Amino acid sequence: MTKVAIKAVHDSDLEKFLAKLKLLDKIKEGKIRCGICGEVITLDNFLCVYPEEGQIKVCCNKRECYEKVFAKYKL
Amino acid sequence: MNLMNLLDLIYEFIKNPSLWGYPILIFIIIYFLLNPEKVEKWGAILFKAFAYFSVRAEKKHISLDIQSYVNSFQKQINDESEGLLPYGIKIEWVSEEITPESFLAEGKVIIRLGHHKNRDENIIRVILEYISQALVPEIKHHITKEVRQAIDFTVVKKILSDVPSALNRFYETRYKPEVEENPKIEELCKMMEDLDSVGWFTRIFLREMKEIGVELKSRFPNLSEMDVNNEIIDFLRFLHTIATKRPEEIVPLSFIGNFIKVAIVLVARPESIDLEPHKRRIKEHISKVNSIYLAARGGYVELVKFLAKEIDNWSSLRRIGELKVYSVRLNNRKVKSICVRYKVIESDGDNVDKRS
Repeated sequence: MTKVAIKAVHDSDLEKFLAKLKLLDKIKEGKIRCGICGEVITLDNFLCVYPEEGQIKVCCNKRECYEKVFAKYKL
Repeated sequence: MNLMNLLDLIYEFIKNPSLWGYPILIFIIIYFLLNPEKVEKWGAILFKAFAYFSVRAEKKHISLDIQSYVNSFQKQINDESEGLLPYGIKIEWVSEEITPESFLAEGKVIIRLGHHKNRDENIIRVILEYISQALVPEIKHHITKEVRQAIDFTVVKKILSDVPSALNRFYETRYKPEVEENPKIEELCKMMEDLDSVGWFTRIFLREMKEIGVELKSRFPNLSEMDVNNEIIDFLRFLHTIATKRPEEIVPLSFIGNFIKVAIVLVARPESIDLEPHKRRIKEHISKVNSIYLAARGGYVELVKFLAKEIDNWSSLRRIGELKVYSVRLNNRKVKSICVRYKVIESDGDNVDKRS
């Protein structure tokens, strides 16, 4: 069976992961917004990161937002 | 049998091989080789035992648990309609070496998954990502959000039917808010659910969606989204009318649109034990449609098999897939059913029997 990868980050690695992407401090300072709805991203409402036009974008945990992100990418 | 008993049993087999031990071991190995998703399921159970003590085991448990659900479903749906979900999934945890540059170069979404206690939410997140990207992607650019959502929701519901707590969470947090905002989705979901209850959602509807998607990709680059979308909704209504009709009710059995041209031949009438009326009906459809589906339930399933054996020899039709019998629940009874698809490969000329 051919399998495609779904990339994931576990809650326990989240801060380390965001720090590696140079997003952690900005999120803690409330400087990052959801790439779809514009809401301020916190460690609670963070759901995924995705690349767009050479930039790292972040998406919140609202259904309508992450569904738009998923629809943009092929497995 | 619990996990410890099973591990003990396997250990005993290895330690004290006996004449009956090895054949059982070989059988287990072959079974797991043929059903890799079962290995994932057992692996998930095994790693769960250590999940409280090790983050590595916790992550392994989550990934194997989700993979086993999704990959079992992928196998099941492809059994219903080959090629609908061409890929299984593998959850890959991000590496500690990740940098902004490597993330951008790879170009993939990275999703957050919680502790295994949040299993339902984890499963829903991965399944939504998987289905929105892997299920009939060819057609999704041509359909409205409502139709897209209804297709995805119906499939997600099918996957989650084995995980009732996740299904409830899905209803509460995703389905309900969406249909309250947009009742059209509920109406479409209801029709798709009815089709699924007779086995036609994957075997006819999604199969045709995949076909048009491939067609549109190569032939109609500037097509209006609404033209295709409206036709798909009309086709869904057409199938729903047949699937929910009363036994003696007469309804249209062919759908001739701009993109979808399908005929359904119901082998269901007691007076039609003779194959000739069915063969005549199929011949009438050949010049007008691209696909012909033979469908039957109960005792008529065998009649479809006989009919299929005859028309398999016609040069104008090609059978797609095997003659698989499946079960549906009707009035709390399990009823065997069949749905066979033929592709029309030449619509003019006579149906030359390949044997002659």
